[in-house]
Amino acid sequence: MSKKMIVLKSSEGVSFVVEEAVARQSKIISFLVEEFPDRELPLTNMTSEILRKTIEYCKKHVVEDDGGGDSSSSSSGDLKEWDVKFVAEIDQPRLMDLLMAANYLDIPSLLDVTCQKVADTIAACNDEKEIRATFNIENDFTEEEVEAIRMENQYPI
Amino acid sequence: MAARKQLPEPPSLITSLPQDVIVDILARVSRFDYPALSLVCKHFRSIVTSPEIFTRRSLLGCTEHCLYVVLSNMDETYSNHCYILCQKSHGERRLVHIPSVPAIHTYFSYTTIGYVAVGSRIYVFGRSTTDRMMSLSIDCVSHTVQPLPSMPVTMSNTVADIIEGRIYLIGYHNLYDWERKMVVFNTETQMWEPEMIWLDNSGRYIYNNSCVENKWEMDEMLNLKGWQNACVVDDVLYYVDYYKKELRAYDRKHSCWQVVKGLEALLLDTTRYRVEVWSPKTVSYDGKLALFFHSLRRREEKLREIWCAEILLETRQGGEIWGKVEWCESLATGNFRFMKALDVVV
Repeated sequence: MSKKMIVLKSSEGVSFVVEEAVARQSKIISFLVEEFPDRELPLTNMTSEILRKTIEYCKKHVVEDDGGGDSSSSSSGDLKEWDVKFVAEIDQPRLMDLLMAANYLDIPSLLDVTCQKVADTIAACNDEKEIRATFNIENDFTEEEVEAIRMENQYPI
Repeated sequence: MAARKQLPEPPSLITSLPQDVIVDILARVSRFDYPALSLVCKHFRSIVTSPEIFTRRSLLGCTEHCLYVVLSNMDETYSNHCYILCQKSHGERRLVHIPSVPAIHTYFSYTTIGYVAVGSRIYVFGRSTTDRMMSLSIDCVSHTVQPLPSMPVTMSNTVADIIEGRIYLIGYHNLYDWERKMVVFNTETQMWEPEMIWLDNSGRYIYNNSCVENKWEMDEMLNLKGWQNACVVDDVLYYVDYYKKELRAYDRKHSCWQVVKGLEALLLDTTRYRVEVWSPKTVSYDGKLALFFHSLRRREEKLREIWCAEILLETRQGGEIWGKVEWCESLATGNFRFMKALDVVV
């Protein structure tokens, strides 16, 4: 039996042909496939690069139903290891793009690993300055406010 | 599309994420990094100071075990103060005083107050110098104190622990006799249970939940040793024998005592300062064992150092228990005495 394929189109207009089971890990795509069967699905806010990454993740995590019950393509231990490598290879701006894609497409497990990676990156920073620099966050405190918070922080909450 | 990427200084993506996602990310970061996070920007500060983030931590299973420590100030009044052990991922450890939790004054330096940690809460029961019985709980998320229903009896030198949602509180009937009694506080209903149990002084009891009646029974093997300042990790009771310099373990299932191996050097250190006999105290902490001990630095200045060692326990083939010291550090120096350490999950 041939597998049903669907087409996803990136913001640059590049088409990606994906097995439906792979794409259905996104709750949004799953919904759209039901509503608009046999249609190309335009994902106007996702670049080809990020869409390719997202599909790569979904392919690895697809649970194949081949009639003999659910069987994941990999064991859960291997998958975890794969996930760690997958996010480790992505640089900071692309990781944020991927996180937004996971959030937009509603892929809970991808959102989970990307959020965890961002949290780990924050934890690896030595102080607030390093966090700001890493994530390009603007300091919107006045010096007086910083002093006041520092005083408060001498004691826990 | 390429133009978007060429913008010179793109605004931070992280702060433009949906609020729900930012909370999700920050909930995964250690609580001890929250002071730094609160200084990053106003948006982050509003999140890490909100109760919502602690709810999310529980939902995500990202809660952390935090050690809370009660020290008694020996200067003028014997007052118990609450501290938190701050552990940075970068290695620095120190005890930080929590000013919002009021000090509890006691009659004598050795008077105990019953402290019990239940999840993110610490319950406190005891008799303060005002002669009033005190019962309160500390919310370790907000570090605020809530009163509890008054204790049904007066008792002094209280000790407390929890079994299956019930806090058992044992204390002396009054300051001058040695009769002991026990009352029970139900943490689910937040009420005191009506009955009061009198205890004889013959020994230590073990709680047996397999039979309906006579729930408290003596375990002769357990009472073979004069154990004190013990804790239970994975159903095994541990205490330090000060004179023999041993960490002893009692396995209830096999009714046998053994000496934990691999800690000889540490225990020699903890009991080196013989100027005062102060047995190291144990606390069960996140499946591990934390050992607290004093070292008297300069007797004339009454300066004590409070030390803590975190010990990983491993049961090897044949049932032998081995301990491995993860870290051992001096956490604070001052004229105080260690009273209690608690494993709080936040």
